[in-house]
Amino acid sequence: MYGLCGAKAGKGQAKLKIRKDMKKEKGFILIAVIFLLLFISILCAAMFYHLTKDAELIKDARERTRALYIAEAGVEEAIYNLRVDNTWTSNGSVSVEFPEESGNFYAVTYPVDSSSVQSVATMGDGSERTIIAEILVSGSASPYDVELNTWEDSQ
Amino acid sequence: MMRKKHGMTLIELIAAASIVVMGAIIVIKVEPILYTAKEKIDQSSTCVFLALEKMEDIRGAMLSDFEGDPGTGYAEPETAFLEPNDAYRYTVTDDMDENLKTISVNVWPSDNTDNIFPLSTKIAKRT
Repeated sequence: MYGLCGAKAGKGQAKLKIRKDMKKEKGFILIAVIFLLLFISILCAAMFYHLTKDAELIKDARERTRALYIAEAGVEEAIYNLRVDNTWTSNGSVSVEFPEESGNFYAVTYPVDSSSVQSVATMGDGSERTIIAEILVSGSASPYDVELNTWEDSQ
Repeated sequence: MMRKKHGMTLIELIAAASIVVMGAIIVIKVEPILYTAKEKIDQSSTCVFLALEKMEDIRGAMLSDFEGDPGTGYAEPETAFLEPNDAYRYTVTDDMDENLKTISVNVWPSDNTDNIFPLSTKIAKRT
């Protein structure tokens, strides 16, 4: 009798334990799915962030590359002028739009008694890039021989 | 009591399945946008690299022979790059000036003419 009672009591306790375990597991799948979605959302957000940064970087690289070649156009114009006239100077006050109607400009400075030419490219968005180059002019009459000695991109 | 518990699990499963389906729809919708954006960025990057390379090739050639080909100079009509960059095209324009040339290189992906990268500079005769 006591033994039977004990067995019944044991069964009851086991049922209670199962019930407690089920209570504990209630909503488990839902929580797992929400975590999965959260993970996917974070992944998507990270990819968006990465792509946006990449897009900004490449846009910047495009503009900086174009600015470099526009500044170089200024140096080349100085070479052209010095080839014609070895006393040519420039104070950088004249901005040349290059290419035409692009909204991008270069200005060249080549002071008296200097062999360094500075060309500043100013882009439509206001960003600038500067090149400083040392030019050697030789020869006795125009057209002179012009050589680009050193070249520095000051970023 | 147990039946009630089973019922709750079913609702829970339905809710979970709905959320998964919603998530899958979002991923399916977003994935092509991300892919297109990435492809465009890669193309832009390649265009810059190819334009730089082309411009430096021209500069190198001009420093040894400023005039270039008779009648055309360094101008090139629409041309595809060699493999592995044959999915990109370029043009070169040369204003044919005798002392200070303006050279323009345009590079773009064959399948996206809007993503064009223009690069222009001047090159002066040295000697």
